[in-house]
Amino acid sequence: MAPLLAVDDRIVDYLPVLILFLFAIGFAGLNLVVSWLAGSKGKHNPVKDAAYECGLPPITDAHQRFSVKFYLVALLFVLFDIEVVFLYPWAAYFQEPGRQVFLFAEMCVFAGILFFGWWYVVRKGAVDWAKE
Amino acid sequence: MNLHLILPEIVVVAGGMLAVAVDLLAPASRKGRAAPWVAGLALLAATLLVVLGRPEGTSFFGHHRSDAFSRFVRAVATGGGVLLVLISAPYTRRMDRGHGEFYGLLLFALVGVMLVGAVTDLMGLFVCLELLTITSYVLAAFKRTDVRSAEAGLKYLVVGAVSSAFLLFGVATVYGAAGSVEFASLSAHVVGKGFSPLLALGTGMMLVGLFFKVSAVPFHVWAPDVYQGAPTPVTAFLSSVSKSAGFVLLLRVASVLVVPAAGTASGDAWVSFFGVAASLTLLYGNLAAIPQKDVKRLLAYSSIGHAGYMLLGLAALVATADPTVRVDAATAVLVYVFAYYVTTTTAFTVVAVVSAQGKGHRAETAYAGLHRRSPLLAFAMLLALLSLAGVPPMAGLIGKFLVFWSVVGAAQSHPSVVVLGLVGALGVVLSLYYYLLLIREMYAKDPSPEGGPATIRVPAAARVSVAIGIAALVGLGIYWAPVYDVARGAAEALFASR
Amino acid sequence: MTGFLEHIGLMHFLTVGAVLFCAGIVTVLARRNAVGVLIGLELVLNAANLNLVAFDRFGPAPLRGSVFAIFVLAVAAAEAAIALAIVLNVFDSRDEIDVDEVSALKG
Repeated sequence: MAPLLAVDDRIVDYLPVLILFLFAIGFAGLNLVVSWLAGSKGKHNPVKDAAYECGLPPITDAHQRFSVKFYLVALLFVLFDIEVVFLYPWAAYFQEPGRQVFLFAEMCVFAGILFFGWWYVVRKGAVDWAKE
Repeated sequence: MNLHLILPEIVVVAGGMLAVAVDLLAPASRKGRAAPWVAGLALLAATLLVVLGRPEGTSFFGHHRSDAFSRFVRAVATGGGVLLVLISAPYTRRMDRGHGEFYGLLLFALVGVMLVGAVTDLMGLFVCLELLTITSYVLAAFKRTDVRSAEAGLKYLVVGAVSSAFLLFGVATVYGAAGSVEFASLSAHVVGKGFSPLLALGTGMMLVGLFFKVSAVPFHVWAPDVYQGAPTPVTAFLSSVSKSAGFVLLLRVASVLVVPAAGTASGDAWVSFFGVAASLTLLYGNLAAIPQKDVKRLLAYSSIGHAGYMLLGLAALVATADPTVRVDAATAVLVYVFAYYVTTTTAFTVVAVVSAQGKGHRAETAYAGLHRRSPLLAFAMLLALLSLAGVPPMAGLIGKFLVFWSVVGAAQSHPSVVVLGLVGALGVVLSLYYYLLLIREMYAKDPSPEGGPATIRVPAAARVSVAIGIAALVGLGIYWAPVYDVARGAAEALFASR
Repeated sequence: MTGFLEHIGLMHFLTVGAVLFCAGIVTVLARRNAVGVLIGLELVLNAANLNLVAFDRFGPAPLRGSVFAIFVLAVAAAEAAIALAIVLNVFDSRDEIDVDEVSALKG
């Protein structure tokens, strides 16, 4: 266990990170100070304070409710998307001599079960947006 | 490749997919007719394949092992699955949709249980257990319009997901500490190098995750709410299948990681770990069951108590230094799991039929004078309660007897286990009290006007499952040698295979 | 700049994993919103995943941990899908996903 868990942290090696942090904080702070010094003061009114002073006035709340269909499609996407990840180890292993037939059959079964799921989803009308 | 070895699993998966497909393609007027038949026949076929085919050997490059242990687990899962389909059929007939999904999910969950006995590494353990738990979340929340079912699903989900996360983190830690995920090399590592702190942490987290699954105290708070809120057939499923899968995994983890350390200082620490959990679970489950008025909640607390007896067997298994006693203890746990499975399924069949009257599960209304309203149901419930209490000649007695016997055996190498035996005996006395209260309600009281019609019509499927239950309860209590022999073979295979 | 990345060893990954794990558990316990609880769970699962991949990279058994991590990803996706569906269902039936308020079952 000992070599696997050996700690080797020479704190000096983190000096560049510290310098980067200092630069980041200094840059942000400098900008704030300069804009506070150079900016004109005392002209507050609601139009000036709006997020887009010259644009269209914002209407309604940004926190709208989305149709539940978005949620369903997003979920289905995530599920089918993540299954594709299994193709990578399979593809990496496929060159193994003597096992190609088995591996191919294996992936056919896997894809077959996935397609069964897809058929179920379509048949249930989960991706059928026109129908209400 | 030995595909024939996993034929039972293939049959059940195909049955689940077929149940979904058949229900989806059926015209609206015939929805829900075929799905229970497809599911029941697939499970029956799988049971026959396991019992008569006696698959033996490894497949998938050593990732799936068919031996006496996995055969026992698969037979319990598929045979018990047939009973669950019989309980569910009257329930799903009253649903207006989702029949195929219900049976599909049930069968996929059962495949998870079947595989749990056959896995040979931590990866398989995690994936199969998740197959079981994730499908269980949906089943617990299946009654979408019922607030209580939705709530049961949410609670089960949050607790179950936390326990899975613990289990997974423990698995990752064990993998890092021992450098391997295969059970065989894990126990070789423990034999050779003992428990490093990291390995102990990982094993502890895995055990905590599994204690959540079997609702051991102090990880039990979800069980009463979920049992009460879930649809009754699903409650039967959770208390039988889900629990037995948890104990199969506890047996596996104990035999792989904990038993090789027996006799050392860390081995003694594990004995206290299991012993404390067992005695707390026993006392809490049986004490908290006493004031319960709702029969489903009562059975939930009683199921926590029964988890305590099975943990008692596990504590004996961990404590003893004698390999024979170890096999005795594992046999006791397996027989207890089987007997509890039969008993609880029978009890929940009765609960399902009674609650179909729509008058709830309260003891003093829905169950008052049950023997006048349906002698068959009252008799089945009586036998189930006596078996839960461990009264001869019921199935529950043999499980309890074997557990106490193994505790006595373990006391020779670890005298403090005797305390656990005494706690167990106290639990038996406590449990008799609240089971007798319910029996008095059914037999000595007059039917309550709020309890529904004067006679209860028992659906044909429920009648079959009640008959099987009664026969098994009495038959197993009197003629238990075959089950004992099979369980002993399974226990020997458990230790031989690691 | 080339030197210091090479000194990042197993312990660093495990520390990040442990921090993620604790953050996840705290989120699960402290959050009252069910979706917040689910986010905490994802943190815990990913902490375990990070550990698996780190042990794989530094440990003696090549590839096991990485393949395991892929399985964990798939399981976590399925769990999240089911979880969101159940939370949505609870929300539909009572306009409330505060886990402390969901308490029709007691006894």
